[in-house]
Amino acid sequence: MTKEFLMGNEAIVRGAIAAGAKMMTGYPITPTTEIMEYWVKAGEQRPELKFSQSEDEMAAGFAMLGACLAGVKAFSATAGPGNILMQDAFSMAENMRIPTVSFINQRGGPSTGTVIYSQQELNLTCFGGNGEGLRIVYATANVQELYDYAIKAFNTAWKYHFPTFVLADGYQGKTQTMIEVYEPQEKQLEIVASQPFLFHPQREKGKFQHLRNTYNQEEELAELLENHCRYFEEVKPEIVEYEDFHTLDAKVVVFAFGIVAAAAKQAIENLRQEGKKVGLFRPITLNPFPKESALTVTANKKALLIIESALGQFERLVKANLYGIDTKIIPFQKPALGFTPEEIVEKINEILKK
Amino acid sequence: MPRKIILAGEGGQGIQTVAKIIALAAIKSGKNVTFLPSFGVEQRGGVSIVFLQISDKPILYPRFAKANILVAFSSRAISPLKKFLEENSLFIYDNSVVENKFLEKIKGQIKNYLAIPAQKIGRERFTTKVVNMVMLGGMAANLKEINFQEFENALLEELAEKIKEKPEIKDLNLGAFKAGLEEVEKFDQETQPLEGVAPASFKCFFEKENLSWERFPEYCKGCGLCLLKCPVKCLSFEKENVGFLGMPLPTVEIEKCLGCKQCMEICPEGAIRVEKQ
Amino acid sequence: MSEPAFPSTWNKESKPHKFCPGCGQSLALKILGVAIQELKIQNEVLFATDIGCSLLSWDMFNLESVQTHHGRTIPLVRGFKLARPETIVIGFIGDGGGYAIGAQHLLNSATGNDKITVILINNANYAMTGGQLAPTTLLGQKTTTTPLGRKIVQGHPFKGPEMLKEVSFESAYLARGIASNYQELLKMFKKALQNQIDGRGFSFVEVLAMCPVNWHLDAQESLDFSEKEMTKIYPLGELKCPEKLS
Repeated sequence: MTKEFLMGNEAIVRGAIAAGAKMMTGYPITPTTEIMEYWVKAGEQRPELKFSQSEDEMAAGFAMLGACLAGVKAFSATAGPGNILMQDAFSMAENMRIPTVSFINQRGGPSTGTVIYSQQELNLTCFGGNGEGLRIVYATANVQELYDYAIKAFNTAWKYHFPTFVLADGYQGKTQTMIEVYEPQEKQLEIVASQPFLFHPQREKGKFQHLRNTYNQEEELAELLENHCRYFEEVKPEIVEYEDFHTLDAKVVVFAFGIVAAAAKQAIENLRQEGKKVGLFRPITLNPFPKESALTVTANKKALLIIESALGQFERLVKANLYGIDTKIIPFQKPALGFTPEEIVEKINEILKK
Repeated sequence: MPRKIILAGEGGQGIQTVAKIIALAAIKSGKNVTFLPSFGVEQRGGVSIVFLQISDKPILYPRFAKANILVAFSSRAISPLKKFLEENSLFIYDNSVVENKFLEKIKGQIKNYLAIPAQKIGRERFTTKVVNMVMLGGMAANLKEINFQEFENALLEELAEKIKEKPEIKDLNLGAFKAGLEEVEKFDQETQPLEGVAPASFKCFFEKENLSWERFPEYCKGCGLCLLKCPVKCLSFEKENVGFLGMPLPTVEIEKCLGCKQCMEICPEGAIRVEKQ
Repeated sequence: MSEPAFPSTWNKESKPHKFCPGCGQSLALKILGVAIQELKIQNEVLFATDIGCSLLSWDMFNLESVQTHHGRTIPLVRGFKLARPETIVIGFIGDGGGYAIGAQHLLNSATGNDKITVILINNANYAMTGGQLAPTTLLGQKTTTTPLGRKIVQGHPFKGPEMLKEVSFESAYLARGIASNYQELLKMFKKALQNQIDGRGFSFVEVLAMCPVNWHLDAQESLDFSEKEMTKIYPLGELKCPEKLS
C-alpha cells in the first residue's frame, strides 16, 4: 500500500490494471481523455496491456464487446455525446449479458454542452439504449473511490454479467489529490476471473456457439428478458451499496449522489457541529437502487432534500423508489452546476426554520 | 358477431394479400375492420401471421386471444395457430400441403374444419403463384356477411398494378378464387376426415454408368437456377412432386447429363448432389 | 441416399436456411462454407454478421458465430481479433452495413490494415426491410424509396473496392466477385482468408448477389441483372492482390 498524488483519471487506470483489465478501447473526449493517455503510457512498461483508439465511440463500444466475448477484461471511457453513441453497444451488452466496464465522467448536456461537469448522464447511464436498465452503476464521490470502484466494477461485471459503469464527472476526473494505492490481495479482495463466451477452452468438440440479439417472435424476447430480470433481482442484495451518514435522528435527510454527496457530507458535518439534526443518504449504486435501505431513513422526517446537478433525473429515480411515503420531498436542482457545502448549509437551514 | 380470423403460413405465400382483400371487401360491405400482420424478419420463408377482425362495432384492439376462423397455409403454420383455437372455431387448411404429422398435434381440438387442396389446384390448373386465391375462395364462402361481389372487386383493386403490367394474371387469380369457392361446395365434413398429406416418397436418385444426380426435396425451394445453368438443358420442373414450401421440384434426363456439376454449384440450398467417377 | 451437397461447415440443423429462393447471398454463404472447409480453419473462425439479410445466417455454420448491431460488425471483430489474435475473423455484411451506416468503420479498418476479412454482399438494395435504396442501387433502378428510379441527385452507385484500393495497404487483398460464378468466388474467398491466416493484411471481397424477390425478377432475369447490368458499373476481378497470394 502506498500513498500517491494522482489525478482522478489516472486513478481509474491504476484501479483497472489492479483489477486485471487488459484492454481499453476509446475515442478522445473531454473530460476522459487522460484515461486513454495514462493507459497507453502504462502499456509502454507492460506489453500485455492492449489499446485500440477507434474512429468513434460506436466502434469503441463494439470493439470492447468483441474483446469481452473473447474473454478479455476490456473497458472504455466516455462522456456526453460519446456516451450517447456508446449506448448502441451498451444495449447489445444488456441483451446478451456481456460484462463491459465503462467509466463515465459526466459533463454538461444536452448536446455538446460543456466539457466540464454535470450529473445529467444518470438517465443515459442507468437507463439508456432501448432496454430496461439491466445495468450496474456505481456513483463515486472522490478520487479514492475512482480507484476502489474501478477494481470493484471489473469484479462485479465478470461475476454477474451485466454491463457495469462507474459514473463520475469532470471534477472527479481532473482533481488531483493523495490517495491510497493498493494491490487487491492486500485488502483480501478476490479478483474474479474472466471467461470467454466464444472459443471456450472447454468447449465440446463439434459444438459451436451461435450468439444473437435478434428474435423472431415477441414471446422469445419476453422470455429472455424475464430470465435476465429474475437474476438481476436475485443478486441485487449482493450488489447494492449506499452510505448512511447521521440519518437516524435527523430531521432533514439529504439525498444526493456522487460529488454532490461529498459536498453535502461536508455541509452536514458543519451543521452537526452546531447541533443541528441533519443527515445524508447517499446511494452508491444508482442501479440497482438501494430501495429498502432508502425507505428506512424516510420515516418521521421533516423533509427529504434531493440535491442534484441536473433538472430532476435523480429526483425521479428517488421518488420512483420511495413511492408510497408521505414525507415531504424538496428538490434542489442546478443543471450542470456544482453545489458548495455552504450553499447546502444555507438551504438546509431554510428548511429547518420553516 | 365479430369475426376474429387468424391466417398463418410461410412468408411469400401471399397471406397478407389475401387478408387485405378480405379487409377491403368487408369495408365496402360497411363493416369495421382491423388488419395486423405479425411476421419475423425474413422476406420469405419465415412465419407470416395476420390478425383480421371484422365487426359491426368499432374494434379497439387489433389482436385477440382466440379466433373463430383459423386458416393454415403450411405445415409450419400449425404450431403458432394452436393456441388460438377454441371450441367452435372453424379450421381451414390446405390439405395438399399440410402434412399429417403436423395435423396430429391439433386434430383432437377441432370440431369444425374445411380442407382445400389449394396447392394441388394451383399447380394443376393455374400456377403456384395463385394458390393463395384458392384459399381466399374457401374463406369467402364462410364470410357470408360480406357481399360476394366485393371480394372480386377487392381482388382486382389489390392486384391492379400487377394486372396492368401482366394482364394475363387477372384471369388466373379470379379463376383460382372461383376454384376455391367450388371446393367449398364439394366439401363435406361428414365424409372427409381431417387429413393432410403423407410425406412423399418418390425417386430422388438417378444414375447411369459413372455418374449420379441426386435431388433433396426437403431443401429445394424451386428457384430454378439449376435449370438455367445446365449447359445441355437436361433439367426441368416436374408437374407432380414438390419440394420445400410446395415449390416445383427439378428432375433430370439422366441420359443427357454431362456430370459438369453446374447445377450442384449454383444451387443456393445444396439440394443437388452430382457425383462423377 | 446420401447427404445433401452442404459444405461440411454448414449447420445441418438450420437447413433449409432462411434465405429466399434464388438468393445470391445464400449461394455466397455456401461458397464461403466450402472455402473454410478447404482451408481447414473451421475451429479457428469467428463468423460475425450484421443486420439485414446477413443476420439470417446467424446459425448458418458450424462456426463460433455472433450477430451484432447494424454497421458495427467490423469494430466488433477488430476488438475480438485484438483480444484473441489467433482467431480468423470474418465480418459478413451487406451494402448498408458496409457502405452506409458502417462506412466509417470499413474505411478505418482498411486504412489501419486490420488483419480481418470482410465479405460484403452487394444486391443493390436494402433487402430485409423490403427493398429500399442502397448506396449500391444503380441509376434508374426502382426501389421502394426510388419508385421512379434512382436519380443522380441521390448520388451515384457506391464503388467500395475501388475506394478501399486508394486507402488500403499494399498488403491488403481486395476483390469483387459474383455469386453465380462458383469457382472464381471460391478462389477469392480462399485468397482473402489466406491473407489473414498469413497475418499479412486486410482482406475484402464484395459479392454481386441476385435478389429476385426485391428486384421483382424471375431466376433468369435476376441472373442477367447481376451478370450483365451490375457488372457494367461494378467490374469483377481482383483490385489488389499481394504477390505471395497470386
